[in-house]
Amino acid sequence: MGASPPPRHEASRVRRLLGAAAFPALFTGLVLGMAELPEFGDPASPASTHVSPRFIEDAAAETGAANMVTAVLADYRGYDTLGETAVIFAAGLGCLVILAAAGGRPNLPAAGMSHPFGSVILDAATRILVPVVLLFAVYVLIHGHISPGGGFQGGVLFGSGLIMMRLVWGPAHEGGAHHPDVPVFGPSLRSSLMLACAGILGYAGIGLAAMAFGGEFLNYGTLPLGSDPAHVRELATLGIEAAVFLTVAGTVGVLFDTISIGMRENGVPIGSGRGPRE
Amino acid sequence: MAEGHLISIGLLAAMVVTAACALAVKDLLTAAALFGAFSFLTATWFALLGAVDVAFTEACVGGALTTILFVSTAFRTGRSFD
Repeated sequence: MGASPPPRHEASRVRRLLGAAAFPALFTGLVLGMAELPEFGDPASPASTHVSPRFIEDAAAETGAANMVTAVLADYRGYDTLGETAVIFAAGLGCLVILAAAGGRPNLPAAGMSHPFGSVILDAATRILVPVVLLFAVYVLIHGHISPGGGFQGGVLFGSGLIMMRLVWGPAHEGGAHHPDVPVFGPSLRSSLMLACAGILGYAGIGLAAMAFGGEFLNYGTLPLGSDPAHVRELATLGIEAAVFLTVAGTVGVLFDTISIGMRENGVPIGSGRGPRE
Repeated sequence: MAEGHLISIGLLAAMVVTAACALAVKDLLTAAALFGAFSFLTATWFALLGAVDVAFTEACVGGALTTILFVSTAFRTGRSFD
């Protein structure tokens, strides 16, 4: 019983004391540092005097996008958005690996409610709402460079529309078994995954195409889409938004399918309000 | 400006209350609905600040999508949290 290994609880106590001392120090440092930052919304801050005016004055002429948010997201900082899209894709993959592949059957067709919870009112409302939601999603995508919106919001809306149909009418592969007259459609889990892959590959592909035509990665000016540089950038931005749309809509489908497939495999009638622990 | 501040404070206070309620309730379905309400309050606040794109995203993702996923998961795990 030498003194070589210090007793465990003593080491953890030292660590805890260190942590207890470090936290207030770090907190104070951060708060003091914050005082040096410009006021929130200060028009004289460097971001407001140099960066913002540059984009406000030149974005529309350079990129053909009246909505500056889209111009910045899809064009000036396209590399950032590529990373974000990849993160969303990776989240869908992670969900798939953990939830669906754990059951050993990742190739199941599109999932949905095993029992409908639709009533007459819900059914009628869904019939009217779903086409509008899907159409609005495409509108949001196409109008992203003029009005608020873009590929991300459009993709989520489109995915939500598909999920809504499945929630009320049941799985797509049963052809809407609960309502045989209603044409339920939607991608299977496999197709959702392929859509998401196509989206992220398309995004990177547009970037690489710009390189192939002698430009930089994701700097669309060199693409042979016309003579007006702003118009070329506008078209390339639309392509990027469409790629984001595919990735997000596909990932939304993957997320919902993996969760509901797990429910079907566990024999839980979805929508019945009964979990296994009840 | 003062009115904007008042609405901001009201929205933020409602967000704190909603978040606390979502953590406190035992029923997971209620918690999911409260999270949805939280997202819509956040989206409203973003819109008030002039960040319409962010508000749109928050309403789509937070208000609709994650609520659906939370509800699906709540049905999967059993509804009450103890």
